[in-house]
Amino acid sequence: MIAGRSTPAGNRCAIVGVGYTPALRHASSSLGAIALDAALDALADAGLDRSEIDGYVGTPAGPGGASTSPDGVGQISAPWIAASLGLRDLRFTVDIAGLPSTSLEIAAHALQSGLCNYVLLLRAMYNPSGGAQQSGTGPRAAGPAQFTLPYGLTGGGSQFAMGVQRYLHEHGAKRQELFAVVDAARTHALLNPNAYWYGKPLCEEDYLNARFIFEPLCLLDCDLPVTMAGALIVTTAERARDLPHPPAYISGFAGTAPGRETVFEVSGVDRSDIDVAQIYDGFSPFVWYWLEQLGICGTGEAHAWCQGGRIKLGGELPINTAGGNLGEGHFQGFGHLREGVIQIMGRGGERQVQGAKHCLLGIGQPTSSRSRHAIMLSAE
Amino acid sequence: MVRGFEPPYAVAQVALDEQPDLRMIANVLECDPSDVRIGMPVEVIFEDLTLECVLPQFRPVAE
Repeated sequence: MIAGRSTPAGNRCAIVGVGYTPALRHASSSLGAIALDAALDALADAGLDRSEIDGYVGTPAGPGGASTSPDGVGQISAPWIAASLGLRDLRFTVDIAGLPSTSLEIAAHALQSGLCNYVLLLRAMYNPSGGAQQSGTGPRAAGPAQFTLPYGLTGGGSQFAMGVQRYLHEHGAKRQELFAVVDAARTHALLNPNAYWYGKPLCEEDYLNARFIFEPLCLLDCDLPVTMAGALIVTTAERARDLPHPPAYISGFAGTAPGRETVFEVSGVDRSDIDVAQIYDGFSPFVWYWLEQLGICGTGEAHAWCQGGRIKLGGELPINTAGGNLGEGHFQGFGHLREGVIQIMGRGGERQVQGAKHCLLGIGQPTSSRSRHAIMLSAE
Repeated sequence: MVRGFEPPYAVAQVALDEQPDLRMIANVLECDPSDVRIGMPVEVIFEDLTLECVLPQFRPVAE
């Protein structure tokens, strides 16, 4: 993945509109319907007419895979969106299966190369009723799974639980310390009416009594599959200045490979200048790993660093101010991206970090060898 | 289905004396799963699941 000054950094592109639907466990309407709601909201928010949208970056299906569902019901293809929304002037269209940060990177490249002027970036997650998104059981195990599946290592939380056990062992950390991450997410979710856990506070005792999924990870350390949709409008910095909201500039974009330029170097924003952060939290320990990889704290220190309200609103570095995956719902990091935009625009309402100028994003699984991205969004 | 998994069961990554950088995933059997600790010495055993399927597994040994 690209990392360096050749990326769409340096405030040349900006996000100028957001639209999203509430996180629902299961939706009564089709994914296409809620995706259109989000797209129309984003257009209205940016003060743009659909005829002005000439770029589209979509993601037809979530990680649960919706291949058996018809287009527009359990998945949404670019042609379906273009036809349904009446986007007749698309000059750049792409559907990807990847991270929301990758969608943003593609949008920014398309804008900078002059292929288009206004990109609609759309993500939707579909959680079909009547079954888990992923299942690791079956009569056969092939490929790499032959070495894990016969031992009850079935993917999802199990593959991360072992690493967390190792982290606790090496760094003298306690499983109870993960509550600081979950507590921040759930406390912030109480300020986000869009969140699945809105209106449902969580105390430490209930957290510690929740059943283990794979020890040391309990049910509440794992995010919750939901159905929701979100859309962003991305444009060039020049065009962004003429639109209703203060733009959220993409000031830095970087991979996380050792030896490459960091998001701090690319953006010129120092760690001490970050006002708020959105860190992917599909499982609670991901926040620890990300903080250490980003150098916010040292290796093995994140478990202690997160204690004492430091990552809650009012603390030194509020993290996942809309609740993140653990508080709002599993949205693959789109919720993090959207909340970063909201904070930089100053539209967080009760959960707004006052005067937020720089928001750090960590999108993707921090333990994954696949792509993950650190992004800086800035107000100027 | 190879077999059902009734929790609790312990899944471990085992480093082999003969080749420490080769890590094997296996269950630790013949002990209470909550007694399994990082660094505890184990030895291989072979679990017959079916006539055609035998799994290498591990059990604790005295240090």
